[in-house]
Amino acid sequence: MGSDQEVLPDDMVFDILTRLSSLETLDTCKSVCNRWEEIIYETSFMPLYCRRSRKLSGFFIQDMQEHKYFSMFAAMDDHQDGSTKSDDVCIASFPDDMKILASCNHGILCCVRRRGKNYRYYVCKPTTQQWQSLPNPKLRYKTVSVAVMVLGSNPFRYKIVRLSRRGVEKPMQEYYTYRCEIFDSKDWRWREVQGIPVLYTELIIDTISTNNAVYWLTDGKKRNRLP
Amino acid sequence: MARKNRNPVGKNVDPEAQKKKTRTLTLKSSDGQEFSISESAAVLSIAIENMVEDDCAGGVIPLPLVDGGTLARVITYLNKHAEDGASDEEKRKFDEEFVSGMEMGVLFDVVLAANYLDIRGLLREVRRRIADRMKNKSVEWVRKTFHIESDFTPEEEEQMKKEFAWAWEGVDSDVDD
Repeated sequence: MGSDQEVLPDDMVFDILTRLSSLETLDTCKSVCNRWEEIIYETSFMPLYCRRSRKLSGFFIQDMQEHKYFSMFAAMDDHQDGSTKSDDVCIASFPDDMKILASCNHGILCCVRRRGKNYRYYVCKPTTQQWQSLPNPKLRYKTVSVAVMVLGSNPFRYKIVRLSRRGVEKPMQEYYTYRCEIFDSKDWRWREVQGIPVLYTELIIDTISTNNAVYWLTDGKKRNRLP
Repeated sequence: MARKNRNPVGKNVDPEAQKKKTRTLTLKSSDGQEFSISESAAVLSIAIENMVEDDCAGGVIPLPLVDGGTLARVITYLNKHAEDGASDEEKRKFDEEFVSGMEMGVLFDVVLAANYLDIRGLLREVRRRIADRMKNKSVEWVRKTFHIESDFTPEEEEQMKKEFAWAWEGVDSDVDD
């Protein structure tokens, strides 16, 4: 001890990292070196981290029952000490008719609710039960895929990307591309973006949004766009 | 039926505890400095307690992995926590002040010593403090402070900057503390 080049043992690094207060710092630490990245992705890391930082980690599961959307949250951490119970933090009052369109790993959801013939878009932070209604995108185009991403926590800023298509089947539809709209919380409006050359025929299977990019899985090619 | 309490938890003084208070041990650091400490304070370290119990203490306890400066700090901590009549609140306040002035290098020395000597409370306190200090720091700062060389390829590094953009932006400028 007393040497300037002391490197802390792994178990100590593990313990220190579970005490970090912000997810930003945790992401910083993933970028430090391979070993640290491995430590953070160890299966025992997140449950302990969540318990210590009183954060929730888990998945939203959505199903349809009797024509209504039904959502629940499956927490990854067990909260053995009973400090926070995941079920009463959020989903207790998750409305049945609310459809989750997109989620991201910062715990923000984009949802849509149908009332009669009207749809309304919402952004939601389930842990604090905060809901905010959004201006609607161009609903005459049918939603194909929606993604949400958080760009910063202070000030809080997010973007929602929506791909849609014209409702009517037209001949030669293989030459049509999807319409892309982006909602930026800073401008508080939807804006159409040109030039995402994904053709109708390139079937979109799934959407994944990581911190700064949205990925659509297409037939054969993986596409990536930074809005 | 009234149960007779055969072993009332009284305030009678444990003679063994009294003995520990008056007995002193000598701790010897890696650089040969010797420190006197009451046994009751020293045994807050599980490692020292084991040595005392196994009776291998024999007057002077050598601690070849702890240097004098670090040992002096650890002893300050142990003395406070063994102090009679120090309330939990007082101890908490002491812990807070004890670690607040320490540079990162010192915190590392103390955390390694606390680990080696198995002093749970100190270990927890210092680890928490190290984690607090990492808030809003850049990746470079963390690498420098923890003496870590990046083993990512430049491509991986670029990928990380994109993926964890929010962690790379808006960090404090790199000042040593």
